[in-house]
Amino acid sequence: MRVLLTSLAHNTHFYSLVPLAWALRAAGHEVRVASPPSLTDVITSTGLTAVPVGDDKPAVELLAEMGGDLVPYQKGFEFTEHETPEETTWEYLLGQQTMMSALCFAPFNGAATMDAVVDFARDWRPDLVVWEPWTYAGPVAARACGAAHARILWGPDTIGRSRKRFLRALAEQPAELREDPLAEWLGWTLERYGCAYDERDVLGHWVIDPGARSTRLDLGQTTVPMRYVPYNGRAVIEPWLSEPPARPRVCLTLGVSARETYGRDAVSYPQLLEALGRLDIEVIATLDDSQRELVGELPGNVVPVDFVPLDALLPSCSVIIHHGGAGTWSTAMLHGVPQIVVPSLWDAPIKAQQLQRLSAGFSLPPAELTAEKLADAVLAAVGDRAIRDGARRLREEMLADPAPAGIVPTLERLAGAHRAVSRH
Amino acid sequence: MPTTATDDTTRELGRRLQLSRAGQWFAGNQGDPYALILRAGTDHPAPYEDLVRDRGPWYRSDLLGTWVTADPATAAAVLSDPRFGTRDRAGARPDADLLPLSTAFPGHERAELARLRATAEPVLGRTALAEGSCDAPGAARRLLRRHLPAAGAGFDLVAELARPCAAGLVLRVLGVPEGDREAAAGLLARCAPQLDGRFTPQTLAVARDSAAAVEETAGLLAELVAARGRRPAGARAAGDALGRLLGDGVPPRDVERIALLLALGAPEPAATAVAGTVLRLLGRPGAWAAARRPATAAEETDRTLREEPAFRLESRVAHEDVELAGRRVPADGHVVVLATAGRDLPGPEPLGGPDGPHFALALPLVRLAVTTAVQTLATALPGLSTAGPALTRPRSPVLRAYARCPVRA
Repeated sequence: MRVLLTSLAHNTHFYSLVPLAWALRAAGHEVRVASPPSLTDVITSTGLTAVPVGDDKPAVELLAEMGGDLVPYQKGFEFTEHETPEETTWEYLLGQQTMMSALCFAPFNGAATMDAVVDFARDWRPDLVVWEPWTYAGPVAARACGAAHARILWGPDTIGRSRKRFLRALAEQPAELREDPLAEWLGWTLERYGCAYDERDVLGHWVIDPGARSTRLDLGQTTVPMRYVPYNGRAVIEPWLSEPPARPRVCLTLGVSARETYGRDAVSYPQLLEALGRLDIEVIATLDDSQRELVGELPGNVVPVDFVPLDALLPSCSVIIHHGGAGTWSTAMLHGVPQIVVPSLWDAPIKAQQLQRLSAGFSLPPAELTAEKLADAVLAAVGDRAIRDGARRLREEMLADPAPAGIVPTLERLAGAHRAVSRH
Repeated sequence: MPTTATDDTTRELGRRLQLSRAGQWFAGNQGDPYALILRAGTDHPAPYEDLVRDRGPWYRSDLLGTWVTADPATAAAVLSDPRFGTRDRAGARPDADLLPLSTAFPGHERAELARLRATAEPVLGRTALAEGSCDAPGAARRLLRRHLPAAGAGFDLVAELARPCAAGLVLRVLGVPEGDREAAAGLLARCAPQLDGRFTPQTLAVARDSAAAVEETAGLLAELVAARGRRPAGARAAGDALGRLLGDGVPPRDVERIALLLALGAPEPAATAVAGTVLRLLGRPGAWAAARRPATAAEETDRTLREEPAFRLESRVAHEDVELAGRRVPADGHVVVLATAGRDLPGPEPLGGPDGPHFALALPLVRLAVTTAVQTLATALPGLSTAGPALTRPRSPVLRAYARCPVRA
């Protein structure tokens, strides 16, 4: 097969595609990764073949307009386990689709990118397009060339759940009040390439889900479970990583995307460090130079590191404290490490709540966070067998699913069933 | 398979509309009451208007870059102050890039509007119309009688009666030949979302269709004026506004402008006010029967237009730095007046006088159309009752136009 992977130009979104891309390549398939040129070096550094498409101007301009701070934009995107009555209203759900479409999806799939990825797809003619959930250039390109397309998740499918809830509310609206901004945007986009809008273009012909079974949202979609395989960039194992820690080791990380993109920490670092400094633990804190300057003097039990491959660090950790970023959350589950999540953006709240419900960690929303609460949570996570068992169960669930290589035959079969024309 | 591919212009238009809409949604989520008014769902905006008013003379919407007033004195001051105009110093409508409209949509400055209103006054003013100018009262009654449903029939008060009658009246007053009126009435109805589109982005399909309808309407009126101008002078002074204005020596360009303001500004506001008045009267025992009296119908119409203004939002731009009600509005600053502020001012047209809305020229005909409709319907349909909830069209913060208004004769 020819498989085209698409990702917006952000490394954490792209990383979720990498292990599957290798699996497809190793199985003998041709693989290309289409993304705006600013991601080209990141793509090629993974050993994959990059197809630079369009630009990321619309997204860069929008982020500049937002002042680089996404936290205020969270209002309206409350992705939690239990919806409030307000979140079931037509007004709320319509607002969510309105903002997702115009502020999330359209800017990251700008005009130039759409045109270029469609041009490439029509020329190269992939059998299958695999896209990360924000990269609608994927399904559009697939439709334009008749390929099957699959969405690969990096967390609970909150986009899918919002969409399904919205569609239910839409059906209940009087005809005169119905509107569907996402279908409107995808509709005029697809029409440009001679295709009519199809609701399957919103969520994919099928979904590839690398989450632990208990964290998947049951939305009635065709789902191919895939074991999460960590990839978060180039990694080097430093000697200290091989030495067992003398005291329980706690990893404290804000996650790569929070550090690199958002420019603002939702939690006060000194506050957290001070609390952890009083405990009989060893803290590995990921801090870049600017953060180290802000934090000042560190407690004696805190070891700062600029970057460490979590996949290598986490097996030696008793607990991890993080913002709920996709790679961190998944890697911790895979290694059976209890998680304390201070949830910030997008789907982090639902992930934090799931962990708490599944006895695999704690959710400490930023608004409720205090030094004492954090210290209590760390002690509980380190000392409580139930939490360790909960985290281990999630690891077992993940290990029970086939690795990326194991799902390749399924993808071959599904691609054959869903593609509009057979070519190769 | 769709037949037309989306071109660059359409795609860019769609993107801008969606982005503006999302911006308003975002601002509303942050608690901005002006944004919540612009978001315009089907619920009444009164709670948000009250929030703006509670802030005092001015509410500054930082997220949408607008000074908003719902304060009666400040609202009246803005509308009557020549330092507030329609366009900025570069000649652009505020938010023109965020809220694209048809280029044919009227964007006259206040001096030009005042001049056009004064020019139209002898033919389209309140007194002239009441005295039978263009046979407006008679034409309105004939149209209404033609559209009356059978006794006991369920029908949509706006779609099947008020809207076609209002459009028919405007077209009759303008002198559109009878055979062309039905098609032209459909055209005028399609223009209405442009009035809301100055504040709230419409969907791409509606934005394009309404803009095209405005262009077509402008073209139709220009042709009509040209055709009138070709007639011999003696034959021009027919019983319609265009003929009379041309007969009085008003230049064709001015007649076209007056005609377009009337064609865009009268039909949907009239249809909306008819339904608003009828629904209010049906909710009060005895009120519907009383509206058979012309004086009562007129009073109730005035009340509707005071309480639910035909144009709920008025946009102005400061032409220079202006100190007003404790705030300094800088040159090119965008100011929006909530017309419901006029409720607390005296007179039947508190903000609708010569310094009133952009479409003030159309208001006398609106008033006549509504009064006549209320009086005629109350007489002809004494058993009229509502037949389900009325719905406001989404994204209609200016007109609060009806999407549905089911009643039974």
